[in-house]
Amino acid sequence: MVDELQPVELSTGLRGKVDRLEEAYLRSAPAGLRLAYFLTGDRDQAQDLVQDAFVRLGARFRHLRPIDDVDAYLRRTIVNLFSSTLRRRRVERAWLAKQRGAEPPAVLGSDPAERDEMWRALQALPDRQRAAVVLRYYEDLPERDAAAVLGCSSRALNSLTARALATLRSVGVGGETS
Amino acid sequence: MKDLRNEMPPELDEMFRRREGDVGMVPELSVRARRRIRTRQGLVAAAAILAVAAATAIAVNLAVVGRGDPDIGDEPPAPSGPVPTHVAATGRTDLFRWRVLTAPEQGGRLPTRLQTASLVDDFWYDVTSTRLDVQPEAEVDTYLPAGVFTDVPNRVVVWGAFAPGVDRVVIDPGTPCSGRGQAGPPVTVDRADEPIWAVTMECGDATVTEFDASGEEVASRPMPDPQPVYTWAITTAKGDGKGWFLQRLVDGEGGVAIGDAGIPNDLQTIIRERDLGDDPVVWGSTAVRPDGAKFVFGLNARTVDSIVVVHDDGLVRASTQDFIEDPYGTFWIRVPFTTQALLLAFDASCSEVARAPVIGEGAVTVPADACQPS
Repeated sequence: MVDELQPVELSTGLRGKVDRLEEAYLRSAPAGLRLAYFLTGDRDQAQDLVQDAFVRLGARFRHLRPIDDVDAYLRRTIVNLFSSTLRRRRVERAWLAKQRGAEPPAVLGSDPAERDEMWRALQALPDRQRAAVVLRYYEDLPERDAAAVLGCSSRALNSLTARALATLRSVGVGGETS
Repeated sequence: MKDLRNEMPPELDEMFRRREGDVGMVPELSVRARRRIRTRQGLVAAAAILAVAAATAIAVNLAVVGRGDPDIGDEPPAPSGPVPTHVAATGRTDLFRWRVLTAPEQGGRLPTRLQTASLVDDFWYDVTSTRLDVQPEAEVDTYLPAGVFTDVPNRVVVWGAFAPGVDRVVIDPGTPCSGRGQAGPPVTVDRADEPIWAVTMECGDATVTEFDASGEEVASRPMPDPQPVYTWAITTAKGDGKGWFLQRLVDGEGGVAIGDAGIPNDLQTIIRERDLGDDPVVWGSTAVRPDGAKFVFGLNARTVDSIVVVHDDGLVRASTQDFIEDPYGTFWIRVPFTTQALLLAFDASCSEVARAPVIGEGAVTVPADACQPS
């Protein structure tokens, strides 16, 4: 089988960087995938997001040194990609709907996740509120770090989190799956 | 009284634990992702000097790893340190605004974060973070959003730390990336209150020279080659008050789209191959604003030989680019501010195959020489 990572046009040095990237992928992708899954609510999208994030990481790899925090960079990239991908898809969907004269029908999948009330409530939150909740309570990041990932102040992060939790409480989430 | 507003509901934690297992196995880095990495790194490989530098760096790295703990490459990285939040420098190109944020120096390295924003709003997006070496020589970083364009110059944001004892930095842009003309005069930055300097300049093989307070040269070295972030950008444009990248779509169905140059990964008006269908031309454009031109872009069938926009005061011929793997062509036109404009497409025998108003009713007089076979 031909190894995709050893094209003839790459110098030995660059190939070494790709191999190091592969190592970083094996080490950091599982955590990145879980983060992306909670952000997107979709396994396939989460996998795409993580792979896209690693493409970015590949482009920036020469700037990252052993003491740089690859996980922090990956986390930030996933959140940024999540925000921009959603925006792009919304714009694309709106444009396509305009061209076709109608909004595509919403499809309810058979994923058991859709029957989990807390899960649904989390996925229904506005993007930045959901990201704030996931970063603070799933990733367990300190306020300052979570705010940095979202590109906002700690105060803004607290506001996002408080609104998100208020929404989660207001929908009567009780921890049981229906 | 205890504030419970931001306390995590136990149900949320339970849900996180419950759903963690749903993620499944981590798939292998896909062939497509590897190709994209290869493409991006292939751009680096194209720059011979950088390739040599990279090979040297890796060789040194391998030597160090070889001498040390064999597992050192698998060690988890250390914490990244303070997050840059202080706005130390701001600027703008003709397409986007930028700012560099810093945090206090730590261990001889200065954390910096580059953010960009659209020309028309105040939302800032992280595009890159770097920790610059400050000693013994100050390190420099660059942000080049897109690659070399065939029809317009390209701007790069360059920033670096002031090394101890350095009072002035002079950046000579050198030969432009496009290889055309001059990249402009040297830019001088004097040390002020901030630990960094940052400038916008045309992409080129720049040299950075540092001087002390007495004007003596401290160090001079080539700037790192800027590496384009948006590999598939075709050209840039101004329109509707914004700066745009025209980008080729390569993931999934092909096509083109424009996106705000200040917003990472932005895609707005999107034209796919299916939109062209059996038509000779499909096009999109930026909105007309009183202050400027209109940017028209789209796809054309390969049977189309030339495309023009005729307007009140003259005629503009489309720039075109045909990618070998695409069954269609890509075109773009910068239409000057006008009240009437008409798009015309011709085949190789100068027969008109498409006609569409792009501004107003398109009520213009078409000159006899509108078609010039390529």
